[in-house]
Amino acid sequence: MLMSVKMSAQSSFGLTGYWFPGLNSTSLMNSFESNPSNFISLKDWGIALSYGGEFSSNVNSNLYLISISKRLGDHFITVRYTPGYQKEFVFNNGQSIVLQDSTSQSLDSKFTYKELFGLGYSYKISNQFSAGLSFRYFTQDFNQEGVLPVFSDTLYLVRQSQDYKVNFWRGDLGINYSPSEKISFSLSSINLININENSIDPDISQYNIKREKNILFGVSVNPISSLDLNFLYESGNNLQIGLNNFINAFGGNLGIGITAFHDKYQSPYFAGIIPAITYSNNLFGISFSGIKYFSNRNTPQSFSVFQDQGISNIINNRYSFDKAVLTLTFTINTIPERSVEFLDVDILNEIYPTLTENYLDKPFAVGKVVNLTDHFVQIKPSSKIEGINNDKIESPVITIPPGDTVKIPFYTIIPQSYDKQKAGISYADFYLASANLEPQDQTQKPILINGINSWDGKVINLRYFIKRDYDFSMNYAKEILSNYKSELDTMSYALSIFYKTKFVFNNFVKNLVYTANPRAEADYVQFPHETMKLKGGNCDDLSVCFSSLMESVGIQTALVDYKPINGIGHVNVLVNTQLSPEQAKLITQNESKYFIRKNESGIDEVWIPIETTTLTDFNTAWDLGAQKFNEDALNNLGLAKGSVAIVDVY
Amino acid sequence: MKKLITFIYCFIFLAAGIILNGCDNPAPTELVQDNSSTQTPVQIEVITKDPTDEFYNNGFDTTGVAAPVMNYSNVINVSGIKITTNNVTTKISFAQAIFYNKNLPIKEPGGRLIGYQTVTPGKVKFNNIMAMTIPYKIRYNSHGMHADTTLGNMFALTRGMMGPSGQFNFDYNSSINFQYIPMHGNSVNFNIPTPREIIGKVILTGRIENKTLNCLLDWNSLNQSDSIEIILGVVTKAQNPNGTNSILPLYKIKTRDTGRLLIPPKLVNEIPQSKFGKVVLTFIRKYQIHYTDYGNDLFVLSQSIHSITLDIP
Repeated sequence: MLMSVKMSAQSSFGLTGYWFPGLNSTSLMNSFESNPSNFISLKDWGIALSYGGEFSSNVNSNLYLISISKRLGDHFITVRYTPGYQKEFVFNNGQSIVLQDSTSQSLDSKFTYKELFGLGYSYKISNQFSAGLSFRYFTQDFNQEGVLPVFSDTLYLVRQSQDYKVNFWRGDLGINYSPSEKISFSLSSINLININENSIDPDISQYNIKREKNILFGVSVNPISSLDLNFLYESGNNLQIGLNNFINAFGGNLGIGITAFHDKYQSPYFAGIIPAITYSNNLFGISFSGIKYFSNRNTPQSFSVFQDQGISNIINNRYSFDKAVLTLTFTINTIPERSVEFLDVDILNEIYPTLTENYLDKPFAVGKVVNLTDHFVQIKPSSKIEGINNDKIESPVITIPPGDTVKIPFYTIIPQSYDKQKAGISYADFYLASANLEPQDQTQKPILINGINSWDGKVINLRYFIKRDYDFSMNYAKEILSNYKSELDTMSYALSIFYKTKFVFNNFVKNLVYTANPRAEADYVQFPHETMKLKGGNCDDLSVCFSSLMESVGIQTALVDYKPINGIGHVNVLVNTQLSPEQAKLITQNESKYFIRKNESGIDEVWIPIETTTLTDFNTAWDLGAQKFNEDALNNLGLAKGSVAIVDVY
Repeated sequence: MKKLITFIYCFIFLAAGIILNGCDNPAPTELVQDNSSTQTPVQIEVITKDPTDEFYNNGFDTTGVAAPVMNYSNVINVSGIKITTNNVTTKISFAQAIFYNKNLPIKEPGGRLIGYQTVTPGKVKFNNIMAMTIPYKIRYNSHGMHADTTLGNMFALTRGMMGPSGQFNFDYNSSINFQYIPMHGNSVNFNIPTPREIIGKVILTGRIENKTLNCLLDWNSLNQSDSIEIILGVVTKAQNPNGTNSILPLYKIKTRDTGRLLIPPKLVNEIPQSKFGKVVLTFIRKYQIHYTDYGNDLFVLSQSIHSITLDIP
């Protein structure tokens, strides 16, 4: 759960010993002393508490440490309070007062060293590298008794206590490098930054905690399964050697370890050992460790040695007593366990808002997703495009085999009400959720949203421009046809569609001009009402407009896609007269002016090509349309070769 | 989520329980002073309990001449004394023998014990020089008035100061022969070893007005395991009717013979400036022997004394 990293402001000694970074560290959390980069593989929140007893002449219980850690992405923050990290010395300061009864009263001093709290930050650079820093706050309280003469009726001496406080901050940097799960290296500073809060009285400066700048190097190897060897060396000539072993038990990890440490200020060479046993699972960890020194700490200690060498570590020095420590850790995961994650998401197409239904069955993006578990996972993908969607748009549920990587398509829905004409960059959020809708992963990608007049150059997608303005087209077409009511009522029903087409086209072209704008791959297409309002357009605009007018009054049309040659394409319209081939003679004796197509029921019907850019009259447009269709689609085998395509609006 | 909240509550209750009920302060480590300690032990004793009382009979004056008076039946005191004032040093050799009759206490009218009557049976010689018999004068305070009296006679030899003169000379790091010749019976004869000469130096820095006065003492150290005594005294600004200023020893400071000592600053900075204008530092290296032979107790004191007087800056 937690990877250890050691951030060592007061060297590398931890109450739980030295363990392989990354293994079973739930139970060994928040130890700056045994974690150089301070990196912890926490998923969300972690809380740790170390409580124990110290075996001096009496047994004293202490709350050594309580800490809280939080992961924010690849950032890790730890705050800890260490009330039990303290050491106190009492001694006669050498002065004494002879009292009136000839007895003497010695004057004492009490020096108290504390590490009160620490702040740690680390960053996971990659799965192999992590780096971090820590700042820790230390207090030093030097209390000395002195004599104060009082001149009154009589002269007498009283004891007077004087306090000197020398508090300081200490900061260090560290890195961890784990090239594989079998080996890990760590490097960190010791006493890199020291900031004193108070000036130091020269008389007591010698009693400050020694703060030699040093480098700490650690290496942990996992030569055989579950057995780890750990070695840590400080350039100040201190070292630790650790051995630990883990097994899977009781639904978690059960570990046992022992660390031997050498401190140049202590004797014998290996001053003591730290045996520890630990158990952890996904929710909590518990470890019981002890510190056993090989020298007797309950004998009188020399002041002169203290004066000469001082201490460099509050919890491990020549005066430290044996300890037993119980450490409890809790991992609180408000972020559900992730079973899948995005590897990447590719945006396939920019968004053309008018091509609404196009996105219902064609993905606008494809995500590459990996199953992190050892079982099948059912995933509900969804997406939300800023500026397009108010809610998440769900894509089909997908089941991913264990450990497998699949591509997941993302679909979207563009509301009919979308009416922005300007293109702009927006963001698409992609979500993965489990079958029970628990979020798994999400990512975000930039995406271009075109204006509503934008067209992707595919003639088939002109249908969306045709349909969008049906209300306008219907009113416009019906108004025209109403003027020919008597003619239409009296003519043969079979010819009504042909004549409706003729009447509408002749009125449609009256006020329009062709605006040359050869169609490119992508284009700007006017809606019918815009074409009528602007009184013109290019082949796309005019074909869309005319087709829309026809379709709105129930006349079936198709678009003839003359695909680009040298980058220039063309489009015009086929109109279904619904005449049978035998009835074609009712409208023309020239067989090249119509085209026989089967309807949905497989019955042949007469379709006539209309060149909408011929803004003179219907007959001319029919002639030119037929001429181009015969030449490109039939004579040049365009339909067969694919250079010409007929695209039904419906 | 319920499980999570349960865990959080459990942890909070556990932590609170431990913090509130189970924590002691870690046991302190007691350090002991040893021989290799560089911290000089200092024992401070107030000498003059009443700083307004110029009389003292506690056995000290800053010249070191006076010896313990009443604590023993018989007192023999030999001293080599140097007094440095205004960078001028005067050497005095001094020897005295006082025999008290503890059956004859002398009390003031109020009943307070002043001392015991002295006797001078037989003769006393120091280095074979016959000691003179002179009055043993003391001054005491009686109801706020200074009164002079004698407790009887004593044997004394001095050289270099007012008083009985003679050929007696205190040789440092040597011995002085003491001989008591009673009127009846055998004489008593023994040698009194003398200490090496003590040479003191006083460095006063800072100013007493702003409580920054430091008094650093240097002397010729001999054996750091031995101890020496330092008397910190003051000289009154007010003069006696005879035009002299009284000297009051305030503190006896006993320390190791390390050769250097910073007087605890409070001791000098709290001296009332309005009353005292000078400090007197007296370095004493001494041998003292307490004999209990001869039916009576005998206290023999042999000391090298260097007394330095300086203006308080």
